[in-house]
Amino acid sequence: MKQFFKYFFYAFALGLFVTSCSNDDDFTSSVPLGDYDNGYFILHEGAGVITPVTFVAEDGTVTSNVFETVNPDAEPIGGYKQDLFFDDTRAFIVSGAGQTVTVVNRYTFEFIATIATDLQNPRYGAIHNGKAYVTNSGDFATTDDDFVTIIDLNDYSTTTTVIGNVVDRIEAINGKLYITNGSYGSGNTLTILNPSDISTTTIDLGTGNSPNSFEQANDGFLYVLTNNSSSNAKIIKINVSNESIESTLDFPAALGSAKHLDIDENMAYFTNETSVYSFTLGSTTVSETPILSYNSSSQYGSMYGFAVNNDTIYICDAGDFASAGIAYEYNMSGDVLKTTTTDVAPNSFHFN
Amino acid sequence: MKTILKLFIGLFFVVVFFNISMLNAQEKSIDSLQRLDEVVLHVDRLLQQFTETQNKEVLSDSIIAKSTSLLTQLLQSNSSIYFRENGLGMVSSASFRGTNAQQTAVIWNGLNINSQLNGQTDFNTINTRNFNTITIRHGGGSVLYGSGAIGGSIHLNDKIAFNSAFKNQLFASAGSFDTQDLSFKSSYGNDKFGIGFSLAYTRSDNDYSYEFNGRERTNLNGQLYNIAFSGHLGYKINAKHTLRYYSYIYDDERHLSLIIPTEIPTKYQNFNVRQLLEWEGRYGKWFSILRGAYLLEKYKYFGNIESDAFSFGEASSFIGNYQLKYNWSQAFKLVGLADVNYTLGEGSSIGENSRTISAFSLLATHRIDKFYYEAALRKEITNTYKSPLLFSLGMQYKFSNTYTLNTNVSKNFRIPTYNDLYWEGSGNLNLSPETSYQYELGSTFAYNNLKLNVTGFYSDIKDMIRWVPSSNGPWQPINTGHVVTYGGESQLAYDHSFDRHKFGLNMNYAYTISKNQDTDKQLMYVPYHKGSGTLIHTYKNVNTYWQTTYAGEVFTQSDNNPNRVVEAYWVHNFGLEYKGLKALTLGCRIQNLLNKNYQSVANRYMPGIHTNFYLNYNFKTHETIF
Repeated sequence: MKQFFKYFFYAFALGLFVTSCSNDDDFTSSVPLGDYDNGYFILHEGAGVITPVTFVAEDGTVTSNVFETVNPDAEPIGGYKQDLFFDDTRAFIVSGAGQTVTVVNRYTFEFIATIATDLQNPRYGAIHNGKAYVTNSGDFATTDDDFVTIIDLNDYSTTTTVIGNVVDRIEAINGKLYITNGSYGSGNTLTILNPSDISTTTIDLGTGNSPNSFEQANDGFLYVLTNNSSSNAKIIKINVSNESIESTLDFPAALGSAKHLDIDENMAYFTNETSVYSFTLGSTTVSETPILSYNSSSQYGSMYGFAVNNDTIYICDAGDFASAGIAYEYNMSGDVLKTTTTDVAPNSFHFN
Repeated sequence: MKTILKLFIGLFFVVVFFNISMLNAQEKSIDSLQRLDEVVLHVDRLLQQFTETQNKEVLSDSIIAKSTSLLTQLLQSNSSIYFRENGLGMVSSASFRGTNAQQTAVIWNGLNINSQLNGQTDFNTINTRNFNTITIRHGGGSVLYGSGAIGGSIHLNDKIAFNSAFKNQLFASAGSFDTQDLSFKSSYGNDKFGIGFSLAYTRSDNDYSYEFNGRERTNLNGQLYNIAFSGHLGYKINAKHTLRYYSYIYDDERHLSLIIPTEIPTKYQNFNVRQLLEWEGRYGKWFSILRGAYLLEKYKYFGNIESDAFSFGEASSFIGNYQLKYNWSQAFKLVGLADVNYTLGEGSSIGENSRTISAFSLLATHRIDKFYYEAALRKEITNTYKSPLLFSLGMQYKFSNTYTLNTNVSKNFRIPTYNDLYWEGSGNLNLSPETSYQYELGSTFAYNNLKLNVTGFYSDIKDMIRWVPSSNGPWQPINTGHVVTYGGESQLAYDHSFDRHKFGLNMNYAYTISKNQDTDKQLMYVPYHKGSGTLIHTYKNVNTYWQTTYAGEVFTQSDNNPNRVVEAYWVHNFGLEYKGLKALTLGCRIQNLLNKNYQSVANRYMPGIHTNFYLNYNFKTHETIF
């Protein structure tokens, strides 16, 4: 039945739990390598073929329609833009409905290629050793066919490997690809894909612990935020050297819909409804007192995207998914630093 | 609830026995029937008798023949209704007087056929060739037609003719994108029987090209076909009693076209059956109609055409309906109406659920010299939602032969659909119907061959059902929206003849404001301006016609961002017909004459210039067949 819901949500052009918080921690001021160096991209999920990205430069200048402006003649990118990820020189934009990965220059946003093979309802991507790994839901009616597309970044040729369990987020960690097997509160494992022989192993997170988001901290451990309507949200700390659970941190029951884990230095940040919370890595308790709460006129698109980078909190609000969204920057005291009007359904921040 | 049903069944049998006993009483006194003129009776009597104070536009056979077989196209170019069409022949919904897709009712021979599952009719799933007349009725009509008649209603009518020649019509059309549109109609009537059927078939590769961001594109995965049968049989038992039977079967498959070539191709299939049997009795000043109907709707959606997997929904409705009319005098008429509707539905995401809705209505019309009024009340009783008392009051004053003033006030509704109520994990059983208060004032000028109608309308629609996420995750429908629509609409009809030239002009225009009261913004996909026009010129055996449609700019974002719009479009069709032989007409129609690259929904482009050739062969004989 879950699969029908899944389809249903897509049909409504929306996904409540579909959020993103990827970020690159190499955000430094330097000689710009292009118009879109030193700043961040806001990705718009969109239902149709609408402008995929807005760029906010370090000096605060906002550029809308980046893709169309730079590439007026390029093939437009399809609907449900799920993820944007980088290698050293390129940016990759994943369109779920278009079933494509569009490759552009990371700094100039000039169009390079469209990858359209071996993709079926793609979700998220990660880079490892000259290859991109993209998770795919495959046929929405089943999770048995969920797979990963492996893209050779030299010639954009593709191969696939079936995971056979719901696949969502993916990160390259410790020479392997870590994939969350969680969607809409169901599924409670991580799959680890070994790129050298394409073998997989799994880590069982325990009943009711459905992975929502994860990130590796500077201490080398992988922190996984889990939630499920039937049990408390948790942080599960994974030791990536022996691929096992190190410890578990229970959240208070009041923070039942915790999402968007993002780690900045030794602080972990996450959201619950329209509030942002934090705790120091290694803590044994999590406070119910938020760092900040914001007012959203949106009943359903609030806190649609979230990130923390260099002591700044980034929040995007998708409104009614049929009008302009808003992106906020906050400082750690909860003061608004900047408000940016985006295009429809902003879902994530990507730092360049 | 059970008691009401029992009462209803009881009432039903009382009526049946009443009719039968009257039938026997009459049998002995049948006068020898005389040869009568052709008698045509429309089953949708309320449309003829209770819609005097609201605008009606009747699209006749000859207008229907000048358009393609998709109902969207016929109405788009012959009315002020705006259609959102996901590419030619694809999913299409109406915005009538600024309302949404679920607020226009489609009525087949007097029965509301909007989907029980989603509350709307897809206007590209109706083949126009099956129907004798299609009538557009403007404004609220829930008292007469039930749920969804808020913006207006579209009436698809068959006719049964007694004492009618043996008539046959063959229509065949072929055109661009490998489109074929074929139909055959046949009918005959003597003084006892009126019988007829029609068969219509349309198919198209629908692979037109268009320009997208400066690139030439082909409409991919847009192929479609539909086939529809419609039949009717009338039997005059005696001078007082008549039986009529109407039947309709429809089957289609449409692939849903792609925006981006790499998208997953999908397709959609519909299967509909409609059956209606009615028994009419006339007893002096009393007039009684007992009806039984069965409606079946079924769809299958294939999320990937490469796979056999599909999701589905289906609903069967059994309808019993009794109308008793009393003609107090020529000027004053009263109608009592009782209706019971039992629906059983299920789907991939809807468990099997049934619901029974009973309705009671009282209607009156009264003409007092130049003043006329029609008044109606309706109350539904059901266990699934709280139903409001609906009413309609229309008044007319005929100042002179050239000028008539109409006014109408009504309360209308749209009931929660199966999806709204029963969607697994999301359905909300506490929903109320959407309700609308509507006011309109219209003037009609008629002078010689000129007729002009100007109407102002105002509609306040509350408790609109919208799907929003609930606190625990899944999206749920709730009664939240509040929209006010108002504006003006006008129709102009003019005929002129001189020598052997004949001109006919028809024009429609509507200006519509439709505002979300929470945000004070115009609704998405509701244009401020919508107009259409047809000019027909006949000289000797040659008909030429020009059709034009204008749809103003629409917002594609709810914040009315001026940079996110579907631009206004103005497209023209031109047609030429030659009546070579008495019975045969050959025609050619060029659509989108100026090759405008336009879209009706964002990223959903329509075809450029394209052509259809058609022949229309009518033959009839007055010989008695049986």
